[in-house]
Amino acid sequence: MDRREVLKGLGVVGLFGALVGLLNRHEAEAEPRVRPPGALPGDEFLSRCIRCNRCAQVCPNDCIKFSPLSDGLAQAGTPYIAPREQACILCMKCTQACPTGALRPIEGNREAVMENVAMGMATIDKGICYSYTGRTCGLCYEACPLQDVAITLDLWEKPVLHPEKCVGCGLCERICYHIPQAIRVVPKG
Amino acid sequence: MQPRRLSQGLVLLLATGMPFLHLYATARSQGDRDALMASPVWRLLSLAFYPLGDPERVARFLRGIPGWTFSLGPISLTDPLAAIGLRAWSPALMLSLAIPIALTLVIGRYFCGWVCPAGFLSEILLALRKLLIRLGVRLPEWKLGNRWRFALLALGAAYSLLTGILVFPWFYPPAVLGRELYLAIARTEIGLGTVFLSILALVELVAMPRVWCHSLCPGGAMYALIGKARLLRIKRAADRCVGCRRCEEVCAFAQSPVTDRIGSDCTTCGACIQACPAQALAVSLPIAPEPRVATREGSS
Repeated sequence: MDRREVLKGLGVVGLFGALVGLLNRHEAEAEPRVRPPGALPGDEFLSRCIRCNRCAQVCPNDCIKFSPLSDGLAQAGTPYIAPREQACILCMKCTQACPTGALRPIEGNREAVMENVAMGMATIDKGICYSYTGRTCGLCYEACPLQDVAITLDLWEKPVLHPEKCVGCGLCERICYHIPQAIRVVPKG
Repeated sequence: MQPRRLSQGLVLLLATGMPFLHLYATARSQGDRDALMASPVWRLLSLAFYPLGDPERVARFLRGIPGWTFSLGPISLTDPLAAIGLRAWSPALMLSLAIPIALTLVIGRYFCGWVCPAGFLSEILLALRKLLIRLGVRLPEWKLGNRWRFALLALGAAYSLLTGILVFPWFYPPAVLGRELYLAIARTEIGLGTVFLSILALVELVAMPRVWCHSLCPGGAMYALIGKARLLRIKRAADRCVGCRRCEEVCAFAQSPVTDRIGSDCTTCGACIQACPAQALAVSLPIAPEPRVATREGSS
């Protein structure tokens, strides 16, 4: 190999390095997102997800989206759920479709879901929630697949959350009648 | 039609068809379906899907990105490059690597010549380039050695292992192509991958034909390494060879069948076999001293 060849090659490798470095800059600024069910915690998930889109392909509810590049290279292209746009129906198909185990396989039944799914937990903004501000609503309670377990009703349909039981599917956030939503799912951990 | 073109075409068709399949399978309501059917493309596609039966069932059967990780029912196939850089391998992942690795051990870098949809597009670009040149457009031709891809492979793997940030999915063309097709068609989003592929295509068309496959692809490097001791090779019947060097000219990977220098970079694409006027080249097992060649009537 002559010198010119080495320089060209180094140029190419350097270009890739610079690109990777450049794209990684935003990593720290990315806010945590709600991952599909069965996702390994944080960094472990990122180092396992090969961006194959399979989870989204099998989702019958079409709720899985992909992080844009503005989230940084480490996050970009990884699946997340924006419950307000489309929430998870807890079918667990994506967990079984993941080829690398970035999403741990979970069986699609109530017991397995309650035990293994921890996408996030719901939080209520009592300042804007209709039921807490004098108008009865109770939609989130009606939408919750773990009704009377993760969410119970107080007087005048006031929702009471039980975070340790909530799996974070986001159906409550999806259905919330208030704009902006009074109940939201924040990622666990 | 050559079987290789059929194979490449099928993979590209699958890569393009997957997002449509996904759209169709997730269009639950009648309104969604009516909206899809309003476009002529969709009506044509539904005709194409028709012999396959219910698209939802097909969508359950076919999953993933062809050329990256793909499932046909219970059979799962994953590009070994997807596993390089992963810190932990699940049993299912290892199982899905079995078929691609076994095939590579037998026929070497078959993936690049027979499967990779990005490689197929690159070949189409080369044909386009040749057409432009024939039409009188003067295009430069810059060359790059073919060792830099090993550096990219090693750097990519080391970076992924050290930082836990996977980089191959971001610049491995078949993965990028499949993902971008999916995003563009099923989500109407355009990502950075499209920009990357467009720049690459432009560079290949204008100045450096097939530079990615030949000089830079970490996947190609990996397949060359795995398939180094492959079983099936292209061999030359020395007594038939007329030494015209046409096999050298057509090879996209700088192999030289005429001097019996066919290394691990051979993708078994068969271009040299086809180009040979004396039919002196054939795919053969290493134990066979001379390839058995189909003889022409009257000769030999």
